[in-house]
Amino acid sequence: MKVQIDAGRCQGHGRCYDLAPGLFGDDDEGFGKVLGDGAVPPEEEQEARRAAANCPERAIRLAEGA
Amino acid sequence: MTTMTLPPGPSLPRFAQGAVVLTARLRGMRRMRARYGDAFTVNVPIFGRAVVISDPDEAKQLFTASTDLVENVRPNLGRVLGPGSLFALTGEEHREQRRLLVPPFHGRRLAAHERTIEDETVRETATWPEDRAFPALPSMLRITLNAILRAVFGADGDELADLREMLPAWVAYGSRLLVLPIPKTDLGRWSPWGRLWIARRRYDAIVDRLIDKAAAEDLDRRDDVLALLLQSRYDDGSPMSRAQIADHLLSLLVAGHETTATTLAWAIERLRRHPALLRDLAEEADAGGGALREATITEVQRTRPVIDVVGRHVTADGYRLGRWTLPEGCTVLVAVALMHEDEALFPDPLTFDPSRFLGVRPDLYQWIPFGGGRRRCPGAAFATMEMNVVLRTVLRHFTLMPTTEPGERRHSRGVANAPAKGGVAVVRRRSPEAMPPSTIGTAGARP
Ligand code: HEM
Ligand code: SF4
Repeated sequence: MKVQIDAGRCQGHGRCYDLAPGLFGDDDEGFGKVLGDGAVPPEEEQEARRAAANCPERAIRLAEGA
Repeated sequence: MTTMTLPPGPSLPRFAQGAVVLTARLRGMRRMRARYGDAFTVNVPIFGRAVVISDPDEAKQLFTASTDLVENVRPNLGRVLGPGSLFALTGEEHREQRRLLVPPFHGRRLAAHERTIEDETVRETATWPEDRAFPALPSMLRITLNAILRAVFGADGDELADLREMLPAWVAYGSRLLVLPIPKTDLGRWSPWGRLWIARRRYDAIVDRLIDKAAAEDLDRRDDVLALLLQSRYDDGSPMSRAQIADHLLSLLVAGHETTATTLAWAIERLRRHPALLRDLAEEADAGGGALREATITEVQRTRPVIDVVGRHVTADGYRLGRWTLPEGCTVLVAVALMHEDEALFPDPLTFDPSRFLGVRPDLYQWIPFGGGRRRCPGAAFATMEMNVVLRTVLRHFTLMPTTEPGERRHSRGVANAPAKGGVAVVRRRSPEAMPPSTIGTAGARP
């Protein structure tokens, strides 16, 4: 699984980096960013789904199987 | 036609219910919940028919609903702060403007505000008397007003002195005018709206002067909100209008100061009634830690949320919200304190116990002092950092004396609830040798 943030939609609500700090961080300006290349280790898939489901802007995309 | 299903509720005349819910707010709501369950329908002045909810799943659904279905509650603070205020804006325009206001209160710029807030706190508390009871709220109001003025306008100056003097009155008008109809004709300068409009003209003149001054400076080197908004450009390259800038700045000043100060006053009120916690917090502050202090602030906001209800306005007929189907025009109020007192979410809910948040982030749809979803308070990270720095500074410079007096009651100041006696403090200054050196750095900024 891979995660991506659509920067055009992100509003910096910060749910992603609160819920899945291993996968997301915040940039200098306070918007969400994907850490590394966005590849999700199997044990963090649950967190990735939680982050995606809780983003108020639906800005997080999950690519299954990638 | 869709059949509407609203939660049950009393059939008292509108006026009486309004009095129940809005004046004895929390008591009234607790009574309704005991009688009807976690959702009920009331008929109140200002909002008309309103559905009050407190179930976290329903609140989450409401907070994340698309803007075709629900919008900000009407009327809201926008009518006092101006049409360009985030409170008044809706849909795509709200999104676009809000995005511009993220950077000044997050990330790199957030850390830059820490020092200013610590300095403001040291300066304000220098006048605190020892061994004599005094309300902490006036001091907290001055600290938070200065903090937000500096974040919004940058360096201090004569204009800020003018604003400092006029803004507190504004918050008071604002909360009263929220409930009065806007007159169609000017009722004169002594009517409440007339006074607001005069204050607004003064405010606009001050902001005009500040913008003229800023235009003569190198804006790239400034980190304040005014500089940022002056530099922002719409997609077509046009700058933001002065009226829009003025509305944003006023909204930040009004929304950002009293809420934070009343929460800090509650923190003082709570801490003095928990001596063991007070000792642990002082030790932690000396050792340079902050986990317990962060958990304490979270617990203060759970048990003493300063905003009672977060509202939305249903814009689609037949909107399905959990168990309910709501008509267009219906108001939905999420009852913050009722949710925070839910035994199923927080065991032993009336007990003040910061350890429930030690090392755990609160669930953002169960712990909602800042509202939720797209309109969740954009100043939450700033306010959290600010409260952390103020408390840390107070703990390092003073010993807060515990008390066995009963807890202070809630007193509504209009928009925010404050402790009725202003959060009475009794302090003793710590000797300079006992004080640890100031360590700037890790005031946790989230949530
Ligand atoms: C402890 C302090 C604070 C509390 C308890 C608080 C609480 C709230 C609440 C409950 C809302 C409504 C959210 C919703 O509708 O879901 C809100 C909105 C807002 N707050 Fe705060 N707030 C605080 C501090 C601040 C600060 C420091 C600022 C400015 C930096 C600020 C600026 C705003 C603005 C502009 C809005 C309107 C957002 C919108 O409609 O999109 N607040 N706040
Ligand atoms: S939760 Fe969504 S909107 Fe918020 S920072 Fe993350 S991606 Fe951006």
